[in-house]
Amino acid sequence: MQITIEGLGKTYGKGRRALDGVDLRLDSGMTGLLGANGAGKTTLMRILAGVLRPTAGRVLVGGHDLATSAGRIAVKRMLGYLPQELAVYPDLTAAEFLDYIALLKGIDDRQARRRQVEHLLGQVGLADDANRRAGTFSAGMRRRLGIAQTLLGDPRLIIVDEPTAGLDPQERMRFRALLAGLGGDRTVILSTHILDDVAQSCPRVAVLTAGRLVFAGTTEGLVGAAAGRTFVVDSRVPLGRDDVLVNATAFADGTRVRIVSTGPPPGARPVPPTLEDGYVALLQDGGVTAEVAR
Amino acid sequence: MAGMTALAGTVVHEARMAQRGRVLWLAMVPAVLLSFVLGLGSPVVGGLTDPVARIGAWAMLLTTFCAPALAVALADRFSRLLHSRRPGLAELLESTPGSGTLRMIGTLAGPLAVGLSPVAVVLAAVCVAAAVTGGAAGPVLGAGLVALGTIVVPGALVATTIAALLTLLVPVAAARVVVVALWFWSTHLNTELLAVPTLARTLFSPLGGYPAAAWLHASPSWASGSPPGILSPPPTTPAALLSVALVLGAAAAFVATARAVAGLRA
Ligand SMILES: Nc1ncnc2c1ncn2[C@@H]1O[C@H](COP(=O)(O)OP(=O)(O)OP(=O)(O)O)[C@@H](O)[C@H]1O
Ligand SMILES: [Mg+2]
Repeated sequence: MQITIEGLGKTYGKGRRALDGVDLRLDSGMTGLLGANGAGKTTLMRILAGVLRPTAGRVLVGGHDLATSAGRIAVKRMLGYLPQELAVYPDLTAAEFLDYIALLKGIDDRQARRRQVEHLLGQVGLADDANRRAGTFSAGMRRRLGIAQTLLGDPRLIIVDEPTAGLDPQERMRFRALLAGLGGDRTVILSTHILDDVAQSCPRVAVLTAGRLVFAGTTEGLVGAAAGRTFVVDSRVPLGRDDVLVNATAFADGTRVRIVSTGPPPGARPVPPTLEDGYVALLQDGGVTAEVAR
Repeated sequence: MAGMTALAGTVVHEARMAQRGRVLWLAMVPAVLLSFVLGLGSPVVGGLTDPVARIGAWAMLLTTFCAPALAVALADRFSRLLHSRRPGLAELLESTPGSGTLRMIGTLAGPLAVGLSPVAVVLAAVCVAAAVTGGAAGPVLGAGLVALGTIVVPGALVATTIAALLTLLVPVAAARVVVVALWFWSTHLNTELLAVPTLARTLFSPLGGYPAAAWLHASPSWASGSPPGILSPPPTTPAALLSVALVLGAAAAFVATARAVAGLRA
């Protein structure tokens, strides 16, 4: 299924511009959505989920125009959506919560509903907590319950806003495996601040900066933005003004830092870039020189 | 079809949550107890000798206190669909394909049914007592159903829907105060005490005076004022039907207005 976004803009009250002229085409498969806090990721996802109206531009999801109410309903029929922050109803059990959302999604067969609820609770590791009130869950358990509701009704369009925030490493891996195992002709849009999530699961990536799209293309392409610009250097060597320090590691013989730099300091040793380096390189360029692949 | 599934889901699960929560019971238990104690001690309620008239009087008494209690407890029903205290939930509901109007109706109807259950229990007990103390079972049962359907339920519906509508316009706390004031103004304002226009003792009164007087042997003074005017005709069957229709129509109009207001907010 294809999503076409043209000239998309959203200005909140008091003239706060959250999205500005975003043009983007997404195909089936998983796309990671990256960007700093306040870059507009959530705003974009809420528009795609049909719960927020843009102030400019247009969006077609699988041929349905989100500007029309019929189009929004058609998209919502095939949608699984996980908001960035999702509370639970404290007085419902995990299974009841999922049953509620399944009914809202129109799954009217009782047996089918029960099967899906059970299956999904197992998938997110909550099988033993199915009959506990969600109000007694930890934050990570609530997040997993949120992930489970997203997948009710086997949606073809999945929009998940920071799904792995607050998950422990094991649960994060389980989530990746869950997404990878979905298969089929599905479009998944996943926003995150955890670049590893994208590196591991998303072949394509889009990056927003201050409401503008600064990169759209393959994840390898974004890694490539730091090719020939990633170095490891001793921490005592003074860094240039435009060098960005990615991380620092202490060793017995001193601390070494990893930098992204266009003019590396003496003694710097080139290393192969990671997605993190590519992201840093993109931001270093202010998104201006980056290739915006379509 | 999917719409009905979503509506049923909303009714069932919102009812379940209301029943497990405290708010509804904090409002309803005192209201039911108060009505019960007042009714037992009152010569014009528990003291009536005509069993059918007694049932009608009990229904009006219960409605007097329980309808505003329900309105206070359920005032946040519509506003929580727009901006829930609980982050993300309103958005999640909005991302499902069902109609917003049906979600509104279900979110109110489920908890309302739960809240009305203790009222129905008291009314049933009154009917049983009436049957035991000499009323014929058939007419007593009929009177109980008429009382529930034309007095208790319409009154509760109109009070809760206007409260829920008001919370879309003013803060919830203010809406609660306003709806209680509106309720007693439209049902029990004594114009001899306070010379202001009122809906009390007109066709528009949500207390159920017209059905009580027309069908449940209540004194005509519960329905129309003296002298009868164009808004308060004598309590004939057509007048009672009109009164019930007006009250239910008002509740429907409040829901429709709330839907329109919610649409503007989105
Ligand atoms: N309801 C709102 N009213 C006004 N401004 C808003 C609202 N929601 C978001 N904004 C603004 O829009 C911009 C983009 O916000 P958005 O939530 O889309 O960012 P984000 O990329 O999801 O950030 P984060 O990584 O922190 O989740 C920010 O400047 C934010 O302040
Ligand atoms: Mg966000």
